[in-house]
Formats: sequence, C-alpha cells, structure tokens
Amino acid sequence: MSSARLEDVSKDYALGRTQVSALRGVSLAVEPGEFVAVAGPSGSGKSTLLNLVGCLDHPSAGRVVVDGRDVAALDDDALSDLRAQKIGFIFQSFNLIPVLSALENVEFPLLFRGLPRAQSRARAERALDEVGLGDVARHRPDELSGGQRQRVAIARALVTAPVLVLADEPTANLDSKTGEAILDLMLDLNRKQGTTFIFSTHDPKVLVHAQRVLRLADGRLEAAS
Amino acid sequence: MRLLLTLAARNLIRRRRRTLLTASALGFGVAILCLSRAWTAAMATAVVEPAKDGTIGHLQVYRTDAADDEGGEISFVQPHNGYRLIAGPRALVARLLADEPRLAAGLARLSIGALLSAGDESMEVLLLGVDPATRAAVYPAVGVIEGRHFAPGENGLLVNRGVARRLGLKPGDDVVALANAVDGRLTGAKLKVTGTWTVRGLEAYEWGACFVDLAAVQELLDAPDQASVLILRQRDARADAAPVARALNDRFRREGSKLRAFTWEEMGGPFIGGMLVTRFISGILDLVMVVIVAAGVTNTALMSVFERTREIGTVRAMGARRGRVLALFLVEALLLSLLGAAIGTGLGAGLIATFGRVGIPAFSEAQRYSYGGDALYPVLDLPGLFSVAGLMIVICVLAALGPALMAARLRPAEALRHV
Repeated sequence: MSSARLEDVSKDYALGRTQVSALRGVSLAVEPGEFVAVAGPSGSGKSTLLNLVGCLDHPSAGRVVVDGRDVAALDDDALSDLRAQKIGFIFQSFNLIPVLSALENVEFPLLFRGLPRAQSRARAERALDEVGLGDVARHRPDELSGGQRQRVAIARALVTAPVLVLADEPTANLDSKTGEAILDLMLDLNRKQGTTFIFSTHDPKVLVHAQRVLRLADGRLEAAS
Repeated sequence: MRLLLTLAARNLIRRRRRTLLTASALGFGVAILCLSRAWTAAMATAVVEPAKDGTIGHLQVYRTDAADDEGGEISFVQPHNGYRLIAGPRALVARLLADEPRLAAGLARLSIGALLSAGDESMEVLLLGVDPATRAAVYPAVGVIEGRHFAPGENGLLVNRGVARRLGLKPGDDVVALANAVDGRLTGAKLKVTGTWTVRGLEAYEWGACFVDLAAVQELLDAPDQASVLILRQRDARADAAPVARALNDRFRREGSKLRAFTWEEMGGPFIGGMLVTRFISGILDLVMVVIVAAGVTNTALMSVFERTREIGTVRAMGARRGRVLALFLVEALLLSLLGAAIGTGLGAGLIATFGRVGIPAFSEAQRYSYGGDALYPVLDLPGLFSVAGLMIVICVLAALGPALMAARLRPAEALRHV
C-alpha cells in the first residue's frame, strides 16, 4: 500500500474573477520509506501538491489516497484525525508556536492523541534528543537559531511516528550549510525509522539528497528522475 | 487540557498590554455593575422594604371596578371614599390565607379621606381602617413611638407624627373626624388618640395618615362589613410577588369574582416608584456597560484570530479538530474574563465599602425621598459580587464565541498561506 497516491488530481483556485489552475491532472504514488523531492520553480504547484497530500485542502478533481484512505470520503474531523495520526508537517518558516518552549512545541501534536502527560512528555524529550536539541528543550523559539527551530519542527513532525512527513521548502529560510544539515537529519531519520518523506524545493543543490525527484511545471508533473 | 491552558495563558501574556487593557475595561465594567447592584439593593433596603412592611404590603386586592365611579384608574395612595367596596372582606382574607400557602397574613382595609379636628385646628387626613388584631402581622414595620395601639372595638386613633405635630395631638386627646358616607351624607365620629405611629426605617417621613379601627371607618362611610382593599403579606418577604398575584387572579377568574390582585411593584407609590425608576436607569446603564465590555472582548478575540491565523493553520495541520481550536480561543476568553472579573470584584468591593462608609449623597429632594435620607449606604454583598462576576464571565466567553467560531472554521491550507 502506497503512503500517498494521487490519481489525475487537479486543483483550481479562484483569484478574483480569474480561475487559476495550480495542478493539472497529476498522478503519482509514494511508497513507504521513500525520500522524495518535489522540485519546480515558484508557482509550479509544489505547495498545493503537498497541501493535498497532507489533507489540508481538497482537490478540484481526481482522487487523493493517504495510507489507503480516500480523503474525499472523510469529514473535517476525520481528516484532522488522519493528520494527527499519519502525517507530520515541516514548514518553510518553521511555524513553531512562539509562546511554547521547544519541548512543548514537540509535545503539542501528542495533545491530539490523548496520551497520558508523562508518556507524551517522554516521547517529546526523546524526539528532541534525536534531533540533537535535548539541551535547549526549555528555550522558546525566539531563543533558537533558524537551524535549531527547523530541528524542533522536525522533532514535532516525527513525535507522533507518522507514516508520512511533508516538508514544504524546509531549507528555504536557512543558510546552505544549515540547510544541508537539516536535509541530512531528515534523510537519517528516514533511513533509521523508515518514515516516508516528501519535501518540496526549488533549490537544485538539495535535490541530490532525494531518492526520487518529481518535477512540477505549470501544475503538471514532468518526468520523474 | 493542561497544554491548552498553558497555551491560552501564555498567549494572553504575549500581548501583555492588550490583555491588561481589556481586563481593566472588563474589571471596570464589573465594578460599576457591582456598585449599581449594591446601590439599588441599598435603596430597596432603605426605603422599599420599610414601605412594603409599613404601608403597602406585598399584594393588594381591589375590585376590578373599584374606581369606575372615580375615573377608572385605581389609585393606591388616594382615599377610597367613592370606591366600589369588597363585601365580607375579613372572611375573604381568611379564605385566601387558607388556600394560598405562600401568604402569611392579610387584613381588610378601608381608606377614606376625612377632616380631622382637634380644638380649633383641622386638617385633611387619610383614615386607614384596619383590624388591630392583624395589623402587626401585615404591617410589622409600623411602630408606636408614643402611647399605645388602640384595642379592637375601641374608637381609638393612631396618628402619624406629622398629624400629631400639625394638630398638637398627644395620647388621650379627643378628635372629631368628619367624612362623607357612600351616599354623600356627612357623617362624623369622635375618636380618642391612643398613640403616635411611624414606619421603622422611614422615621424621617411624615404622613397625613391615621390608623383607626376598621369598624369605625365602616361606620363613617356607612359601609358595614366592607373594605376597599385587602392587604396581603407573603411568607417569604423577599420572594417575587408576581407568581402569587397570578395565582390569585387565576382563582378570581375561575370563581367569577370581580377582584384583582396587584403586586407591590405594580402599585408603585412614591418610594417604590423612585426605586423602580432608579433600578430601570441602572439596568440600562448595566446593559450599556455589558455591551461595551462584550464589544471589547470580541474585538480582542478578533485581533487575536487575525494575528494568529497562520498559527491556527499550523495547529490544524498537526491534527487539531475544529472543536479544539474553538476551545483554545474560548479558554483564552475565559482566562481573560477571570482576570477582569477578579480586578472588577476587588474594585467593586472597594467602591461599595467606601460608599458604604461615606454614603452616596442625595442631590435632589426626589433622591432624598428614594434614599430615605440625605445619603444612601450600600452594603457589601459577597454573593451579589460573585454573581455579577460570574455573569460577566459568561458574557465575555459568549462574546468571544463569534471570533472563536471564525478561527475554528478557517480552512487549514488558507490559514497557512496567511501572511
């Protein structure tokens, strides 16, 4: 069973009176344990594709299947539960909650799993240790560097042991050295834990890390490499 | 829940100045509401309760056509010489008391205007004919400050201090009362002053009214075994009189009797009217205050939603259901209102305690009438304070419901795109 599958998916947006096609008839399958990059210039539809796979948005046409479940058949609460249990997110701007410490940020997604406090705290501590940030657990995001914030975001994405992690331009706001380190960390976690990663980028330098590259242009999927 | 509370509390701390401003406005509103309640409660204690206990009772029963020969509108303060009277009033009171457990006591009263003369001095007075045996139970605040109460069957007269002063009366003096009988004939009676009465709590006021034995007034009016009004007192003096009035009126309708019960609030009167006007104005001010505070909370919550749209998208991406986002913003509103309520309760208690010591001054004669003196002294009532605080908390959470629903309905992808 694929971690995620898109079948002839299109996504149109209304921009004022104009209809914009962000994705046009995209079909793909990502298998468990894959480390896949979605490449393409700005506006090519990378974020839209990740939003659809991440059940954050609905396609205008076509079918999206995540971990064997057709997302069209799920209501909003069921989609939320699917995200909580199966999907982790890493954002370009880290999107950490500013008023929570690094540890609390990592612990936050476990809130939706209903785990006992001690258990969720222990899991969050372990996840932070795995990204090498055990010593800044009590720091707030504004006390961390960009690289550290993205590591916290990675720990947060992985703490729920998801089948799929979606990273939207995870290195775009980082210098190249830190970006490399973040990609190495993601790849390491992919290898160790077998978690499927799909990340988007428009930076050709980071594509070398991917096992497979899906190229998007004008909302269409070009040949995979 | 712990993490939700932490998040909500820290979000409030994050916008420290805004939180303090909103909580202070809320606190100010709570304090004003507390003071307003204490103010009207003090008026009720100072004036209304003595007026109920000393002059008007809790409920009054008249014939529905009582004033048909006098313009139609029943007057609760004017003499009832031309009124259509209730026959067999004592027996009727006894029946009502037996059948309505919420009533504790009742009496038949016949109020007529008469000319009272003592020596060369005369004045128009209101003679309140009552049964002396039941007077104390219905009018517990009527106190005899000089002399004694007249006995049943005695042509005795309890004069108010104002009448005593004007006519120079003292216990033991004889007076003559002249009135018109129901058929217009001039009638008269010789009465002996047995004492002077006043209403406890309203000692500053003087009335041109005298209590007389009911039989004496019936004789003056030539209306044996009749009364113009039945005065009833509830067992629970603080209970709402309206339900009992409704029950009595239902009963009168069922029986086909031409009677109607009025509550003390319907009867108004100068004291109660003043208090009701004040309560009404105070209620409007309370409403305005509540609307302003609620608008402030709504505005704060809305700003919070706009500022944190991307954060809402992140939380939703992590798997938060809409209900969880709703709860997050409602918990924030709850914490904010708890803070405001705490500030307001403290401030309100301080204001009430201060005015309770120095008094709220009366600036006009009408206010003096409503306050029962030159100043009103509100009393600190903790359950009252907490009920105001609780009400404000509920209102604030409800005021935040709109923005919270807006946050919960945000589509995750759109929220994440928000800049």
